[in-house]
Amino acid sequence: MNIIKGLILKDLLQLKSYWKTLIIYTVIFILAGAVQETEKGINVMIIFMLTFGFGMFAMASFNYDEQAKADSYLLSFPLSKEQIVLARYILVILATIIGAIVGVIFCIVINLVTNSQVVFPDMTELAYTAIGGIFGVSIVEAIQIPCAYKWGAEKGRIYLFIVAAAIILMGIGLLTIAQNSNLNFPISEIAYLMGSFLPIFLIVLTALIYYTSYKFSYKIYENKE
Amino acid sequence: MKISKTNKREENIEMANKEKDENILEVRNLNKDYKGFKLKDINLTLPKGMIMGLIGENGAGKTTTIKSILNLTKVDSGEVKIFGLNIKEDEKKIKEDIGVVLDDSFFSEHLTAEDINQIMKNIYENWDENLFNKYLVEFKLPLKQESKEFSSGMKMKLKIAIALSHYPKLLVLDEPTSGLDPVARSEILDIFQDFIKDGDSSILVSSHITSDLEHIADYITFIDEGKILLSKTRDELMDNYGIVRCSKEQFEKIDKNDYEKYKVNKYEYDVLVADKKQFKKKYDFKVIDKPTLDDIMVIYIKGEK
Repeated sequence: MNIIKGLILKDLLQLKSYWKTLIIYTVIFILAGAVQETEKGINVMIIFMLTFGFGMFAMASFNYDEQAKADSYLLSFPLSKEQIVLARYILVILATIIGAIVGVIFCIVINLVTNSQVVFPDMTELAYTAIGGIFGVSIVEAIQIPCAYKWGAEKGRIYLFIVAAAIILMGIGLLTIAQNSNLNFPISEIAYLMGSFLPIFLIVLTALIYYTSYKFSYKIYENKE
Repeated sequence: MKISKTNKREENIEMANKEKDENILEVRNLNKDYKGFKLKDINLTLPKGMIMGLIGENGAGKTTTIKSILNLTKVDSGEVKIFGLNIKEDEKKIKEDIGVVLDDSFFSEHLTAEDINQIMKNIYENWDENLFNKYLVEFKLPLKQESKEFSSGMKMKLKIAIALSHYPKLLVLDEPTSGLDPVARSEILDIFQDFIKDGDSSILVSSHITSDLEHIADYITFIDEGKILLSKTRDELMDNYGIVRCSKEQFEKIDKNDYEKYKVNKYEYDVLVADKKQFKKKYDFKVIDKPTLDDIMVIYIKGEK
């Protein structure tokens, strides 16, 4: 566990020049939220953008290791490739969750400060938004991390767009096929039936997405020269 | 008779164990084929308390050999034993006791020595914060300055301080003196000599600055195009090898089997001989020059047979 801690610490310390950027990014979205009238859409925007921003902040650690060609040096220490990949995932997941939490906290503060009457916002709704935000960001990260391991941080970003575009096109294709075949998916009925189970379902799905991505990344990194 | 046989066998086992204990590093028949480059049948033995210098021109295979030894790159065949243990089976255990300096790979330049100390405390069980700080003071390295502000010499000293601060028994160093001025190089070479003083620690060091190795290495291993051309003690090389400088006519009288390689210069032939005493006995050459490692390397690489 100490080694994982050391690796996460390395990433956090080398990201210290990014802290300022992250703070400015957070402040911009909070200010943008504070001056808006319609609170619901703003809550979603703040939570989603901060979840995304914090996640991407952690992803930047790839760049630093790549610039320093740190992989060989790290692997000369008494640690395994598995620990290197695991530490990176823990950092990204933690940063994403912290981003969502920070988003929720600021949404509460903005609501309390900007409302003429002191009304506490709907916490269930904020929690659902945070879970949805983490789920959305996890999909991006789950594609981006294996891409970064395979092609490097810079090229990985280009491949992220290619992979994401391919997935979207596949989705559109499947939907078109379904529509042309007159197949009716009872999406709204499924959503209604799931009701309050939806957040739990999303949490499980997010965990599964990260786990599958981690396995992919490890396999790529294990075979890398 | 039976008793004597048993004793002989025990003696052999004891000798084998002793030999195993005496060698810190053993590399057997290492082969690797990678992107048009081949490492062919690399065999090395590094005893305790010794420094082995790996020499060869850029791209000869020094770094690949080092990375293969450390299991940083996959090999096609062969075996690496460090401290008597197989690197593939006991990698973590072995790496606890190795200090590594790589030429082309390090931490991000945005980290300070203080940051690195925080990280390394969690990586090595034996990491000694006080020893690391002592090295920083000794090497005049600032604690709180990002290493991107460091000169090449300071960066190398930081790498060496990290490599030494967990009491390693073996240092594996890839080009630790490249890009450094003579003063910094001399300081670093002194550190290496201090390191092996206890007699239990060893160093495997690659360098294309052969004059550095002439000063500190006990063994010289010369790699070219992925193959070991020679691996001998420094004294054996320096005392026995010689360069005969002669005319074309004189050269033509020398038997092919009596020299290693020759190189044609503008006015003379440089002929590298492996046993200058024998050569002197057989041929009438009064002066046979003592070669430097550079001379040996250049004639081996550029010369003909």
